[in-house]
Amino acid sequence: MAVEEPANLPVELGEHLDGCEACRAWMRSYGQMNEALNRLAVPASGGYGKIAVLERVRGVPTINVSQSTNHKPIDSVKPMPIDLEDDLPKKKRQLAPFAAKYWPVGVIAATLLVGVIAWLNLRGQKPQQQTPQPSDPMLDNVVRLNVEFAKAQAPADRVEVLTKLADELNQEMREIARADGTGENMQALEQMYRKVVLQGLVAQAKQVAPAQRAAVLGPIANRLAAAKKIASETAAASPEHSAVRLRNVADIAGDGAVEIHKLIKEAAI
Amino acid sequence: MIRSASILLIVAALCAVVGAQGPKTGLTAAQQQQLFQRNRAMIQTLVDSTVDMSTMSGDYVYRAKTYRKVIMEFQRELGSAAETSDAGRIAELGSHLDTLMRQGLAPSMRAARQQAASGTGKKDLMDLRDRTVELVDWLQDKARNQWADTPEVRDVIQKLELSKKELNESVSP
Repeated sequence: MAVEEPANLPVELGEHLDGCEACRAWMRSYGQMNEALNRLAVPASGGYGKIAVLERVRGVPTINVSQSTNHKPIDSVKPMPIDLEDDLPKKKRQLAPFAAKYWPVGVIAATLLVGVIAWLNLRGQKPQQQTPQPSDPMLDNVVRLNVEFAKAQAPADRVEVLTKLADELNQEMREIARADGTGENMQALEQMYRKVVLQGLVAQAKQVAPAQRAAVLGPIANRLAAAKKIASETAAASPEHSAVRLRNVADIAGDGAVEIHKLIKEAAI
Repeated sequence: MIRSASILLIVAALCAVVGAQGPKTGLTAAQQQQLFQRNRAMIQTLVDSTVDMSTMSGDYVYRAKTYRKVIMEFQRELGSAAETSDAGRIAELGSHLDTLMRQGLAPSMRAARQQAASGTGKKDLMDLRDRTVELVDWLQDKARNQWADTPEVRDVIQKLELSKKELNESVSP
């Protein structure tokens, strides 16, 4: 076993093996074992075993040199420092044990971070400013006409104000006909127009003195006829759900004009 | 024949005038549609009020009563605008409310006072005045204590004070 290379045996050992069957058998076993050892894979390790050994080596007392005359006294001899960092395999830091130990701290830290970010974002937030909408010219006009009517004393003045109100409603219908997706607003406007023309305007026209009817109501009738024509033309270019409302308004305007003409005719008789 | 032709010409001219009325103040159709949608309830109430006044044009007490519905509708919308801190809307509606109270309701009440110098009409008028002033007080109180302190809100409070003064004066002997 002290032979370094089994293939190159010393001469005397080789002569012995030639004459000794037992030793030859033993030699064969030794060769097989040696071969098996060479094929054996070195198990993977983190190097901790080696570390442990070297640390033990480093921790062992210095060599007892007092028994040697050629060596200096023990106190003056210091062991050669072993630079473990160069020799040892680098320790692979594994996160799993660390995470397993400190995960609650991590959760708390993450929660605090999210909270701080949210607080910083929300702290200075003002209520969202609404996009300012322009004032409504139609509302302005309807308010103005309402108080104008309240001040109007004579039927002729009231008829004039009601005609303006009807024109306002008619114009609004023409302008939103294509924008009103459901037709709900057009329907509301049609109902308002019907009320203003047939319940308001025509009823108030009857209050106008017969002597004034031709002068006062003539232009009103003409305006209603014009409104009928315009509403019909706009209906032709509008989506059907708006067109039907415009056609109704055209009919209302036409009916109103007919009623006004009747009143003028009655007065003329 | 000449008469028919002249009527046709007048109608054609009127059509040209009416048809030439372009969109209001540069607003698009979509914008007008949105504005109408937003203000529809107030416009409806105003139109109803106008027509109601026309059907009972001689009855100023009735006329004054129709304004109560209008004012309640506007104060409701004004409250919504204040809750959403919509300064432009507060200014717009505050101005309209002031107009309706001082140029619509107060003159109607003055006319009604003369009309109902004696009789039950006077009591109705006083009741109407008191309830309207209560409404104005309530609105002022809300504006002072619950709405944001902005120039628009302060302007509304001041206008309401002037309206209250005119209402009181409109039926005082």
